[in-house]
Parts: sequence; C-alpha cells; structure tokens
Amino acid sequence: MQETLLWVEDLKTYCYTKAGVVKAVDGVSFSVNRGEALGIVGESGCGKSMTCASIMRLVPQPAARIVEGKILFEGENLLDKSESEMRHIRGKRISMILQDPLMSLNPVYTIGNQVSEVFKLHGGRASGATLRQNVIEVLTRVNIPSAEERLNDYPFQFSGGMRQRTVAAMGIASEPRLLIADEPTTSLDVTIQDQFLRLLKKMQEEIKMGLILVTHDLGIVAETCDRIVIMYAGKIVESGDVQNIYENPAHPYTEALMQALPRLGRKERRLFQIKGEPPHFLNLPSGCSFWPRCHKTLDICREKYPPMASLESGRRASCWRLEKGEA
Amino acid sequence: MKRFLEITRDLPITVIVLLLPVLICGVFGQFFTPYNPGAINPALALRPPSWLVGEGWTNFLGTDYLGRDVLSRVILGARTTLIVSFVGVILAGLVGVLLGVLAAYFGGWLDTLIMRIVDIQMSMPPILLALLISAALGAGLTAVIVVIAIVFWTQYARVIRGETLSVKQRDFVVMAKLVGCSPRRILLRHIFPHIIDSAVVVATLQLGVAVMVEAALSFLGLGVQPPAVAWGKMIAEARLYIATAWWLPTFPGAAIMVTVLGANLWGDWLRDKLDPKLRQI
Repeated sequence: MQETLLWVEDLKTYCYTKAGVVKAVDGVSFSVNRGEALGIVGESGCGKSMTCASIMRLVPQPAARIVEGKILFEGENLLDKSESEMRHIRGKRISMILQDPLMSLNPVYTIGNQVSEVFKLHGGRASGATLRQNVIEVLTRVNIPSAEERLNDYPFQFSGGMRQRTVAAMGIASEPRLLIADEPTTSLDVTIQDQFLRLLKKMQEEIKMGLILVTHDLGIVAETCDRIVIMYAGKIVESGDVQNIYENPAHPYTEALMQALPRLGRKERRLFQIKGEPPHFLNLPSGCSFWPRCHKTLDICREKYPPMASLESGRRASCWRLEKGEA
Repeated sequence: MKRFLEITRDLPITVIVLLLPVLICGVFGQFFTPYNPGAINPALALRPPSWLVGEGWTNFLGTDYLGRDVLSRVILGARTTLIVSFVGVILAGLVGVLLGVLAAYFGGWLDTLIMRIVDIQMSMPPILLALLISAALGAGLTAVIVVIAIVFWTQYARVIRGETLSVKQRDFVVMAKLVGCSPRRILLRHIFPHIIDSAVVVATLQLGVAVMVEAALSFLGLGVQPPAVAWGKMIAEARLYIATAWWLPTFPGAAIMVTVLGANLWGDWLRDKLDPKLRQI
C-alpha cells in the first residue's frame, strides 16, 4: 500500500454572487499517493480549477470561500493553516503551474531573475554563484538549451514551449512533494505538448512527487496518469485506475466522453457529441445533474442525487444504474 | 555619435525650449539677476520696459510700484514655482500611489474607505479646498506644498487603483502567489513596475495644474510671503496699475503660461512615449 500524500475529503468551495450561491466544488473527495499522477477531467467550468485553487488556498476571495471539508497534505490539514504558513507551503511543498505560459512570467524581469526568486523564497540564503548555479541546473533539467547564456533573456525572447518549461522549472525548483498542473498544455501545439508531458512525467519520477494534472483531454490523461477523477458540475462522478475506466466506463458521462474521442480508423463522418450543454450552476437540474443529457435516464435520476458506489479495484462512480445493479 | 543623434531626434524640442529656461532660472537665478530683486527705489517706480523708451539694457522689463526690477523678480519667481509644483506633485504622488495600490490590491472595506474619501474630496472645488487648508495652516511655502499634495493625491489614487486592478489579475501575479510571495513582495516586485509609468504621466500632467494652483494661492495672498518672490503674487500686486503699467502683470503671466504649456506638452509627450500601443505605430 502506498503512502497517501494528499487527502481531500468532502471539499466544498462556494462562490457567493449577486444572483445566488454557485457551488463550484460540491463535496469532492479524492486522494493522491506519493509519486502518483492523478488526472482530473471534466468540461470547462465543472470545478476543476476551483478544486486546485482550493488546495493552494488561493480561491478568489471574498467572492469564493471554502465552506467545508478537509485537505490533508502529509497529514496536516491545509485549511487550518494561517496565511503565512501557507506561504511556506506554496512553491516549496506544493507547486502549481498555470495554463498560459505566455502570461505566467513577468515581462519586466529576466528569466534568471524570476527562477531565482523561488530559490530566494524557499532555498535559504544561497546567493551569488551558488544561486546562479542552481538556476542553471533547474533550467537545464527542463531542457532549456544553453541555459547559462539565456539567463539574461526576457520572457519575450523565449518561445511558448520554452516559457512553459521555464514555468515548470519554477514549479520544481524546490523539489515539491506535489505539483498541480492546471491545463499545462492547452496553449501549446501538439508536438510541444507531447514534449512537455514527457518532461513532466520524467521530473515526477525523478523527484518522486505527486502530480495532479487538470485537463479536458482524455488522451493526455491516458498517457500520463495512473488514476483519474471525472468531474461534472462541481461533483466527482467517477474515479479509478486509468486502465479500468478507459476499458469499461461505469458512469454514462464517462462513457459519453470516451465516445467523443476521435479514433484512428473509425468510419464515421461526425464525431459523437454529448447532447445539450453543461448545466448552469445557478440552475442545476433536480436529482442527478447529468440526467438531462444522459442516454440512460431512470425515473429516480430526476429526483435524487445518486450516492457514490464502490466498484471493483478501488473504482467509484455515482449513478443510479450501478446502485440498482443494471449497469 | 550615431547613438547620440538617435537620442536627440527623440527629444521633445518644444518642451525643452519652454522648460529649460525656467529650470535654469529656478536653480541658478540668483546668480544672474541684473538687479537685487528686493531692492526698493521709489525714484525709479513704474518705469516701462527700457527697450521701449530707448534706455538700452537698464530695467529691461520695467519696474514695479516700488521701483523693483521686474526681470529680476520674474527670474527669481521661477524658484518658488518649481519648488512648490515639483515637491507638491511628488508628495501627492507618493500618497496617491500608495493608497491607490493598497485600495486595489486588498479591496474590501479598505478600497471602499479610500475611494469614498477620494470621491468626497473630488466633489469639492479644488480652490476652495486649497483656501480652507491654507487658512488652517497659515500662509507660506510649506502650506502651499501641503495644499497641492492634498488636492492632487486623489487623481493618482484613481488612476493607480485602476491600473493595479488590471495588473493584479494577470497570470504572473497569480504565479507569484503560487510560488509563495508575500503581499508586500508581490506589490513591490511584481505590480509596482507595471504601474509606475502611469504615475509618472499623471505627475507631469499635474505639474502644469500645480503651477496654476500655486499662482492662484499667491495671487490670493496665501502663498509665499515676502521677501520670497512668486509670479502669482506679482500679478496680485499689479492689479492697481493694470491700466497704466501693462508690463507688471504681463511678464509674470507670460512666465506662468510658458511653464504650464511646457509642463503639459511634456506630459503629453511622456504619455505617448510610455504607451506601448502608440509606440508601435
């Protein structure tokens, strides 16, 4: 049995808007083991990013608030930490990298200056030559060619892929225990995407860190992750091993997502599409949030939200069909 | 040499022509005034400019009702104007930038409090406010500087608050938080460099207004006190003689105009220079 690194239990993060309360994250529970890669998948606006922001304790206050739940990181509840304690955790023990590599670097500072900031904040008092050496080392690690000469470049002199790798270098600089990557490859083209994911995977194995990869690309998850969590409208609908879920999805939503993947050699003119659109958070359907789009709706689906059912080999899914044994 | 030429091509010639003499008079004026600007000589009172009456280079811009040399007084008046407007505007800038950044970054009640004070202050006529403050503080150089700082900080606060609101949304600020920066570090290192050019533009645009406020306060007798010289005060003293001695209000008035025009053009030039959207054209 592997050691649990992150344990999220019944996390609820709500946004208080003028129109009402948006339950962006509504009772989410999952865990990441040491050295394990977890994929969080879902449509835009299903609460993936809000979940990550909650783990970092950086939800946009005062509009959003973590109302309930536990986030145990190496046994400590992050929700009990003070802001200054969190500052020592962010960037040192948990890192996060954002979607858009073009925007994540401050245009007025050189690459070397920005990467060294992480060392300055968390790496004690290393300075001068040692600091410089550390920066060159970590940049080389993420495959920045001739890192030494490029320390004094500004972000605009770097390509998109290089910028993303620089951001990744900032993420792993202090060898964190957990790296959260929020759609890290969305704005890169496919070849660079592949390169970057390999790099992430390699770093993850080298420093044995946990990885949470947020994405809406199932292909990426299949290649990179060990386990997967599928979210819909702020809730987890299915979770389990990547292999199991891909071979035999239990929840109709997962099934539909798999069907929507383009596949080589399939003779179809149009890709499969999930009918309807994601529900509005202020106006969720009664019962299961997915029923209006589901192709296997039962009567009970419209009335009550299905409980989470445990299936074989650690898999879990919440659907009335599983409950009634007619999957 | 080539680089030097390139720099000179970009310089705002008009601004230099207008402001450099003012600056020189303000800093070195006391060394080249033709007469002692405070020397009273009733025998020479209310002389017209010497070149008009064929007297060569004696009182070149005429004399006032006490026989003091107008040229010398205009030269020395530049100092008061420069000290008051520069120090006042910089002071206002420090206060306004600080409060604007804090309001935008921390938001909530602090934002509401600061911005309501700004709103309230902006709804009062600035000259009335200036009168109230200088009446409370008494007349003098320090009072005028404080007045300008108090009247002008609101403009900075508004502009800087807006800028900060947009900068703090940007991903590199979020990244700085993710890496574990403290709010102070984020403000100073990651936000400040992005708002400073707006503050500089506001400052230069306000310089002209500050010159006029200073002149108005001096005109009303709330500015610097004798023996210090101020353009606004010279105009005030000339009121009685306007019909007979046109040179008394004209030359200090022209000096005010040149300074304000120069400052405004400088502000415009800087704004164009620092705006990346315009720079590309």
